[in-house]
Amino acid sequence: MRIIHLADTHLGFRQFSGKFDPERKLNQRECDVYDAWHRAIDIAVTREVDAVIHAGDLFDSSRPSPRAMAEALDGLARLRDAAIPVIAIAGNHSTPRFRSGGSVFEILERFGLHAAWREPQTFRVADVAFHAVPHEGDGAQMQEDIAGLVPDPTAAANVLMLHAGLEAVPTSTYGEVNAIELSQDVIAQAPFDYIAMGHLHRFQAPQINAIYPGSLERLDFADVDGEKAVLEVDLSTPAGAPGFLARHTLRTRPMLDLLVDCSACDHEAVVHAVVSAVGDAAVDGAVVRVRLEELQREVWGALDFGRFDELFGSCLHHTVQVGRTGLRAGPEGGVEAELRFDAWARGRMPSGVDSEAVIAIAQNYLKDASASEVEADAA
Amino acid sequence: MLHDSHAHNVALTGKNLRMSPEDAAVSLLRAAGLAGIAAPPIDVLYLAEEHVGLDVQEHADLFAVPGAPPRESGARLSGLLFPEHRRIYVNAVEAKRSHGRKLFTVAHELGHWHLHRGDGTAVHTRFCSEADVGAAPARLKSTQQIEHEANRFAAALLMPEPMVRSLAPAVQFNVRLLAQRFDVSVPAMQVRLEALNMLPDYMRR
Repeated sequence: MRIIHLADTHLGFRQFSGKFDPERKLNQRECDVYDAWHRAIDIAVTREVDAVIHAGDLFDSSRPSPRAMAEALDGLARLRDAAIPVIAIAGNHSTPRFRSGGSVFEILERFGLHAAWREPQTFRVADVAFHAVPHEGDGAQMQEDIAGLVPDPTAAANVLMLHAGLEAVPTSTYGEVNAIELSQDVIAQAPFDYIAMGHLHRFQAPQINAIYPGSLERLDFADVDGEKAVLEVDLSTPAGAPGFLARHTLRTRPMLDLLVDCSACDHEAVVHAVVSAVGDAAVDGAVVRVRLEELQREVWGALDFGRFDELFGSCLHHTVQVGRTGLRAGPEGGVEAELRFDAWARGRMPSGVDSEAVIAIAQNYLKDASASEVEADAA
Repeated sequence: MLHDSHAHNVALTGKNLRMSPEDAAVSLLRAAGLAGIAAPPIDVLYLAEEHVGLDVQEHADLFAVPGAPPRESGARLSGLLFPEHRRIYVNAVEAKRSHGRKLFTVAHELGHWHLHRGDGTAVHTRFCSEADVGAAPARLKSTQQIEHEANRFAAALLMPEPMVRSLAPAVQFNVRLLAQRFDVSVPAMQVRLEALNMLPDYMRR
């Protein structure tokens, strides 16, 4: 059996108020997400797969808008017409905190979708058993849910569907609500042929038979690297073997996150540095963030932001901001921050202490902390 | 006992001149009686201190250690090996940040001890910069030859091939879990699994 494994489609997602698709008169980013969803459906139909599974966060909200519902149903209708069954679980974004109002999955179930949104359920499609575990706000409960699942010995393959992060895996999600993390042991010991995961927005394979396909569109700047793709899995092939997994690349809205070193730059030089950082990158319709590092306070105040508006005029959205290093005091406003620390430390050093060595150690710690922040940001 | 180990290691060093870094690591594990153990982690501090007889110290500023190279702006040292004093220094800041990193640095310097201290040019003190000692995969693959050999030795010592081949399938090649079990950093485990050609394309970095 060949399946398409989707997750984190976030239908109904909106960003950048006031930026509309000119034809549809809808928020442009909302349209981007719908377009990616329909391209994924195209691929599923074209590839004539045996099932589509969705590992959570089909919608961006537990109470999706009528527009988001309509787009979802359009895609599901095409799969139904192509006789491709769909199995889905509720993710943290699509699980209401209060269940008295029901769930959107109750509607989708009436449309023929196999959905697990209240409790774990096993669905049998042809000779494959899909063990679907919906989002659960309590990590221990979810681990119990998983432990309670027994692979079907009569099935040709057993698939576990989960929506959760994993300990020690950097997240690349956005605006998380009620998210949980599972221990790596939980998936390493789970006796399933394939573990279809959702929650992380970048493609990741934490182990040979467990995959996060990632979102279909980039939803924030933590998700700039790598390609977006629709994941096809051949369950008749052992995990890790050639042909087990194929990624069908999707074209997405360009997103650039530029770190620009502005040390020793005046306001003109900053503009040149930004132009240089953009280089040949395609910015038409792009979402761009520029972070100015090592920038002097006076230079920031003197920047002509109209120049950036011209440079990024063809972008969907751009922002120019002070980077992680913050604003530096310029030569006229005092001494540079690192030098100030030197002077401060020298004046307070106990006698008999090698002040230069202590300062060097302290600066190493500061660099280390800064490097950790940068690593965390990159992750 | 310590004396016997030292005598053995002097002889081992002579042989190691013709050995690959991986074979030298296996020889050391065998000599220390660790080749047959079934479960990680490999106790590299025991190997360095008790078996080889090296003194392992941490220091927050390795440039301040007597005998270290002059301080260079922007440069950082991860480890130092002073063969004549039988001493390894490890960057305490890095050690605090990552225990796996610390153990890799110790194993790396142990690699220099076994592979390079008798090669004519390298009987001297070894200064290993942050870029020399494997951290990120790109660095592990691209450092100078002598540092690359020390990294290969360290990887083979901390993550012995038979042990990795036996344990990885049992945890579905879960790189982070294996890193925990072997007490190494995730990048070090990733590189080891890739070097042993054990990961499918979709798990390679």
